[in-house]
Amino acid sequence: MKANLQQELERAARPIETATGLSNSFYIDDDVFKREQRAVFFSQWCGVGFAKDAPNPGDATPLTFLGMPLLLVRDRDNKLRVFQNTCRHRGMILVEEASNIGGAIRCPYHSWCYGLDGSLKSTPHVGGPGNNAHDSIKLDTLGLYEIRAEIYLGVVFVNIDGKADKFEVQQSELIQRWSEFSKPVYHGGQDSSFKLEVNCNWKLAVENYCESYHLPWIHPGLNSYSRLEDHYNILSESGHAGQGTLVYKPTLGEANLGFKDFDNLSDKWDSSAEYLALFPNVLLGVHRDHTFAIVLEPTSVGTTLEHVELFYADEAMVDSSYDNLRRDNAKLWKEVFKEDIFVVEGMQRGRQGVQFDGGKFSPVMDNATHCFHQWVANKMMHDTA
Amino acid sequence: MSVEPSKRDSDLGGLEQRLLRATVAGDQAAQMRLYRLAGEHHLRLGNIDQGCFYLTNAWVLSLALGDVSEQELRQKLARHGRV
Repeated sequence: MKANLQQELERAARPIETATGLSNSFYIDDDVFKREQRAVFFSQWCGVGFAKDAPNPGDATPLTFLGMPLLLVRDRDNKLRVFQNTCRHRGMILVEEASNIGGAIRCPYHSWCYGLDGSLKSTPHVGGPGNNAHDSIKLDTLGLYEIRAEIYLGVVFVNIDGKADKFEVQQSELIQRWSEFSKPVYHGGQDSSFKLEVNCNWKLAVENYCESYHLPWIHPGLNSYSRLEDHYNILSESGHAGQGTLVYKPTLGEANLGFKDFDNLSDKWDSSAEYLALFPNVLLGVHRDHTFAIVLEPTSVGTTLEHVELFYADEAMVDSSYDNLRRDNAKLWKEVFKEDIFVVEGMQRGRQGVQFDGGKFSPVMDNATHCFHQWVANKMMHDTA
Repeated sequence: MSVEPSKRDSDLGGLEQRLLRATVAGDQAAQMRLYRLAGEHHLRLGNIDQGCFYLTNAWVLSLALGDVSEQELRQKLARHGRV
C-alpha cells in the first residue's frame, strides 16, 4: 500500500476528536475502489439482493455484484442458495435471465448440467460423442462454487471469500437489538420496489444515511414532527451504525387505518423507529408496521445504484385492499430518499477539490459517520493481499 | 461425429428438419423426444455410438426439464457404459 494512503487510513481510524475523514482518493480513485472490493466487500457480509427475487422452488435469478457473477437459486427444499454463476467447464455464464428451472441448470455452451444444490449431474460427450464420463472428470469435485449466504430482513447477504465470521456472530449485537423483528417479512410487491441511480461513491450514501445531523436542512417535512432532538445515535464496533427516532408516525389511510403492526412488539416501538447501516452496503429501517431495506450497488467509483424494497408485517398487507396505503408509504420514502440525492452527489463533486482533506467530524453529531470511516479504514489496513 | 446419411434420417420422417424446427422454436421438450426417437432407432439398428450420441442429448434435455424420462434415459446409457 502507498505510504500516504496508509497514513490517511490511520488518520481516519483515530478517535473522532482527532480523526480526519477518508480522503478524496477513497471516493474518486479507481485503484482504491478495486482494493475496496476485496477488503471491504468480498471479505465481509455484503448485501447483493433480496430473497423475494427467487420466491419459489426452482427460481434462478442471476445478478452481478462488483463484477462478480452470482446466481440466486431457490432449491427444492425451499432453501435460498447463492452460487457463482459460472460453469466449472469453460467458465461460461450459466443463467442469463431470471427463470424457473424445472430440472437442472444447463450450461448453454456444452450442456453440463447442475442440480439446484449445485452438484454436477452430467457432462455430455465429455469422453467423446455419446460417452458421458471420463476418468479425469470427477463429478463430485466439480459442483458449482457455492457462496455463503444468509437472509436478514429480506436481504440476501453473501460472504464471497468464505472467511468472515458467521453472519449471526458478526451481527449478533444488531440481531439482539432488533430481535423483535426477527420474524418473516412480506414484500409489498411491485409498488414497494424502486431504484435510485446516484452519481456518488457508495460510501457517501452510507454516511448520509447514518446520521441525523442533516435532517432539519435536507428533510424539512420529516423534521416538522421528527425533530433533530428526537433522534439518537446508534454505534457498534461490530459493523453497524445509524440513528433512531422517538416520534415515528405510521402512514395512515382512509379512516385513519394503517398497516398491521408486527406481533408482540414492546412499548418502545409504539413511537420509535431505527435506521441502521450494516457495513458495508445495506441500509435498513424498522418501524412497528413495516421495514425497508436498501442495497447499495457500487456501479463504479463514482456511481451507485440504490435498490429499495419495502416489507410488511403480515401477508394481508400485500392484498389489493392495501394498494393505496402501500403506494403512499413507498411514495413517502421515495421522496425522502430523493431529497438526499443532491447532498450525496454534491459531496462527490466536492471531493474533486484537491485541498479537501477528508473533513472534520463533529464529536457529537458525526459519530455514526466516523464509526463507518473507522470500520472501512480498519478493513483496508488489515487487507494484506 | 460423422453419421452416414443413409443411416441417419431416412427412416425417421425427416428427423433433422423436425429437430431444426424444434430448436428454432426453443421447444426443448420436442427436441428431447426427437433425440430419444433417433437414439432408440439407432440402437435397434445396432449403431451403438450413434444411438448413445442421440440418447445423451435426450438425457441432458430431460435433466434440464426435470422430465420423468430422465432416469430411464440414464439407465439406457449406463447399459452401454456411457455414464
